[in-house]
Amino acid sequence: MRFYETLYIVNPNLEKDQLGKIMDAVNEEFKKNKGAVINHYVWGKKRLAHPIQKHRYGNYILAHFSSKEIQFLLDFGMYLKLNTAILRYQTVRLDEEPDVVEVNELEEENETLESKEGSKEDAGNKEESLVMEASSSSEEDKEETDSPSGEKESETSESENKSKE
Amino acid sequence: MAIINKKKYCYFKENGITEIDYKDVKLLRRFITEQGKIMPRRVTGASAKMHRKLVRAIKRARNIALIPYTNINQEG
Repeated sequence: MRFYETLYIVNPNLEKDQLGKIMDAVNEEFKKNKGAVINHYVWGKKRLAHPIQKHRYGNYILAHFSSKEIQFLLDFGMYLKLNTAILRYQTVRLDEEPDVVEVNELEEENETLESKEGSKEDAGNKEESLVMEASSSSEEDKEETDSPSGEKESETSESENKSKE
Repeated sequence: MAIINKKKYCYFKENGITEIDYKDVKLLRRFITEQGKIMPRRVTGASAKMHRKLVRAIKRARNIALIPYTNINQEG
């Protein structure tokens, strides 16, 4: 028995009811092939790092399951591939049995995340890079490794310094 | 913070990380450049073992669009 994790991206234009339907369909696929589902939940709507099928956003859904047969993985992969609502999927083998996640906690997390997302993401990066700059004592090598926002900031701070001078 | 001191050290060893999850975007972003390239081991100071795991995680995250393949010519 091996444990697997599948993360798949569903079309962002679908509503919550339709998302539920897709998840039910996937659940049935598990049942058909006697795969045991451990977790299956919506991870959240996120902005894609690169467009997939011209979509900029995507609903991420995460599933943990166990299976004894490799054939199931092939069939399941083919099912996800043929489902037009699913933009991309990725199955990874886990070394250990995954913990069962309670859906209620996740929903709360997602709600708080969704409200904070977008505006906070950039802010978080900037904070990090600020800390990096503060801790690094004027070493040239480090500038290369800073995050993009950090470089922009350092540029602006330099220009500010110059203007002050 | 990948690099702070002059002496390089393995970030993962310092923080007791043995496995790298490809969904942990915040962690992975520390080890890619502005262009989205994977930083070399000589820069990050990661041990060979953890660098291999890191590379695998980054490539998985790229495939599922959590981190970019490249940032060149990309809007906003």
